[in-house]
Amino acid sequence: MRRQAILAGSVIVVLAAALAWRSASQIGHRPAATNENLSATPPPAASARPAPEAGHQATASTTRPASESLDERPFAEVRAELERLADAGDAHAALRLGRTLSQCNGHVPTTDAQLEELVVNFSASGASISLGGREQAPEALLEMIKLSAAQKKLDCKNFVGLDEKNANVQALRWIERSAALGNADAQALYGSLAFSSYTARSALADAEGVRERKQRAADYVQKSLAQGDALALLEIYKSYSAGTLYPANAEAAYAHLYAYSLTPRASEIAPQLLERTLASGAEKLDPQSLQRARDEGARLATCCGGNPAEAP
Amino acid sequence: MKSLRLWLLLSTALVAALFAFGGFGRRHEASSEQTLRTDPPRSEPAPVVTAESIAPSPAPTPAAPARAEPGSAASLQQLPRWDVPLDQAVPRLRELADAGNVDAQLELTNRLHVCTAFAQRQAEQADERDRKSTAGDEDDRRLTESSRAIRVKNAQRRIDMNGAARTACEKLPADLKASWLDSLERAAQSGNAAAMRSYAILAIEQYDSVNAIVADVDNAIAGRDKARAYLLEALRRGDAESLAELADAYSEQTSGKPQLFAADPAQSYVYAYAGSLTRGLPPIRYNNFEWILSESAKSLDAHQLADAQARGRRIYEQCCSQR
Repeated sequence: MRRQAILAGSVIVVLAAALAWRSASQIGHRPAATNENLSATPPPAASARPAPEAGHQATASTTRPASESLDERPFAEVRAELERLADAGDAHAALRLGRTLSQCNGHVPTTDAQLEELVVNFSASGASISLGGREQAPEALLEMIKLSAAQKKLDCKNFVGLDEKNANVQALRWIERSAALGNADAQALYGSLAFSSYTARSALADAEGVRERKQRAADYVQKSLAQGDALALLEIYKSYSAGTLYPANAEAAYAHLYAYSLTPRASEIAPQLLERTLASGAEKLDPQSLQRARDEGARLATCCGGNPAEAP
Repeated sequence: MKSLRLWLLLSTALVAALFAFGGFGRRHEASSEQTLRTDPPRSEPAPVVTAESIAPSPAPTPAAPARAEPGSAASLQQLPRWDVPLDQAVPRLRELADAGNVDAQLELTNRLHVCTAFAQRQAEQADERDRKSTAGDEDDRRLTESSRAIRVKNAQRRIDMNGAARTACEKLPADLKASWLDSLERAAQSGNAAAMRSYAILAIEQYDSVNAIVADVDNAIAGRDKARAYLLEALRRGDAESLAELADAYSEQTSGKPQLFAADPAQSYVYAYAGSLTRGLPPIRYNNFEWILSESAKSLDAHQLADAQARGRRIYEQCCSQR
């Protein structure tokens, strides 16, 4: 059972890493972005501004949310209090609830040795994982899982013990509440969770609902960006990669990821994962497009505390 | 260990489904056959009160007069043989389709389907599976040399056929490939029920993942609504095969292909029951009806079951009792 749980956690976190590789076969076939395509990029904040502290509410307030005092305390211990505060209008509390439920549900910390053993057994069983229609070699799979596990460690700080069936539904409810209350992080993250409760069947049957959520997600991510939240850059990158909120566009995707990498919030992504994701994105672009995307990324980064002078 | 393997398989499916970005939906197995087949001429049935009404229904235009009947030898003989290369067959099919030959309209969509992004992805994945299978065969001691050779040959033939199709598709104009469903819709608009049913299946096949729907949600809604309307219109015109599609479309247990409706065991039962009363369908349809009736019934109490049977019988009497 424990091995199952470990692999469950690992494979789920692979999803995050897979984002780095997944678009290779999809986006790679699309025509390189033109300047016109790039100009369709959602407008960043018009000018450089200091980045607000992650997750702060948009409404300027000198008082800190009550829930901030709970940040260092274990989630399980303060969950009821967070829920009470969130219901009372504390966007920070709602954000923590949403993030924890979406990112750490079912999380089981793993060692590299455990991951290696799992991949060996997985491959020996004859099973395989295909991403973007391409079967992944065990070595590549192991690398992805390790990077993803490293990211999960960052996201959950080895938080364990949460195992709820409808975690994504609850997470969306809290993120939506936090976003409505003006929290920039929640606004950025809304699009990542907005469709998680759908299956292909339910999405087609309720496509009008999907359309509403898509529009809301696009609006929120722009509001987040306008607040100077670098997390919005990362979410826009994901949308351009997957072609969901915006038409798939490898150059625009790279520009936003690159912009994110220049901001202080880039430290929230495991360095190797970010590096690998950037490299994967760069592989899809010719030298001119890559340079254009980097220039655009440097410009975009100024929205959110990024420092183009530190660009690699 | 067994449960771990099961979980691994599920994980694989999960990851693939989430990240192949629309690449894992199956082409409807019967689509080719359904597209090619046309209904024999029949008198216009009385309007049917279906279990639900979806408006507006597409308004078919009267079929053009003085033309070979769809499905007749005279009509089919005009079509290029199946083995005529795509780039040679398409101009002739377009010519016939433009002249109003319904069989050519159906066949044109059928031939162009291989060029859709969805079908191309399916072909790439099939190639990958064949390559993997061939590599795996090398170490499989259960295979004899001759059976291994046959499997390699068959796999290579499929890969070659897919490669040839890709090459042929590259030669076709982009606008023609983009409008691959148009000729099928023309056939549907002329009142051909098989075309309506095929349209209902093909118009949504690309929406086999949440991401695919989110990315193209306006077209997904339009395609879904048109597909629903055509399928119900086909039934209204007495197309008994539509009962099978509707029963399947509402069934909770589906093959993974995109479905037009949210799962509804009662509706599924209604159409399957009507189908089970209908004569003259292929035997496999009755097996499917039986299975759907059995599965749907598990979610229905005695009252709901009786109600569904009564509704199913009414639909049967209105659409298909004269077959």
